[in-house]
Amino acid sequence: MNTFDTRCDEVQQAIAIKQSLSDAQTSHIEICEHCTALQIEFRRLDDLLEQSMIDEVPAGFADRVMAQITAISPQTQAIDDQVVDRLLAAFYRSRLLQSLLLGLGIAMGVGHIVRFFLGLFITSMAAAL
Amino acid sequence: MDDIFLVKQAQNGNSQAFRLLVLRYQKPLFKFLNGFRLPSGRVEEIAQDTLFKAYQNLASYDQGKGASFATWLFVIAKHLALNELDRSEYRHSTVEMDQAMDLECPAPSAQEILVKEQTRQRVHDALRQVAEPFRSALLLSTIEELKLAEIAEIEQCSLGTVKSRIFRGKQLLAELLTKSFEADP
Repeated sequence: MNTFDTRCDEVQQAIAIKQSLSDAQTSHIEICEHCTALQIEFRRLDDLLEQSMIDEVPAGFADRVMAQITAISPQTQAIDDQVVDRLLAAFYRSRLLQSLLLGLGIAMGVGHIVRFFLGLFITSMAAAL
Repeated sequence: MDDIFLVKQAQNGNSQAFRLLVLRYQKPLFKFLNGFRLPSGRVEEIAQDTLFKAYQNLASYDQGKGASFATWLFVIAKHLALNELDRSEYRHSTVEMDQAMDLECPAPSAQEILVKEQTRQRVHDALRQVAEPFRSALLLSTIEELKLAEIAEIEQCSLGTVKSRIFRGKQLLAELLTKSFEADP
């Protein structure tokens, strides 16, 4: 059986994706110079890629992302809206309370005035009699 | 804490949970995006856009549909990176030397910096010439956080196809680098 024809594609793909090789594949590499050369070449390539792929993150990157999210995210907007709603509700509630108290105050004031004049009227009537 | 837990927390409005996801994926994202050789300064913007769009659309992300958060995030990143490349295809871009110097380990010699930067430049120039979809499959394969099945999901192809794309991508890159080293040792 020709080991090159039967296994090379499979072995080379396994090398490319860095899959762990089976015993049969390892044995194949030992006798196949094409696959040995490719394994060496891809290892070198992987090293080069590893050295060349810059994964440095600029300082404060996560903070900038979170600041952007916090600034205009729907979640924050929803929370802001809720806060505004609550404040408005409290405001309107307080206005209603104020109006009620004012109404009560006026009613009591009017009551006192009526009672005062009623008192005067009753006193003058009593004096006349 | 796994991604599923953090995503659920973030979906419920816990921004600190999303921050943990940002911290977890920022490095792989930069690694992936840098491989596209995007115009100078755009990598950070695209990385930020990726995470911002992920957050904005977090409500529509459903783990139950099968895609992991990493897959979902890299689909967004790939989409934005390719859009940017389309826009800037004919613009000339280089990694400035001072930028490269900032990324080096403490006090390497000037010659070491130069050699490293030249090699990096060569690899990135070669990567730029590797056609899609081989390039993105190859770049994704360098991200340790991604499994092959996840790369297949990002690339929207079968597992077999992604394996052969990585293989072909590496073959193309190796050929291009060999030519580059032969032309300018």
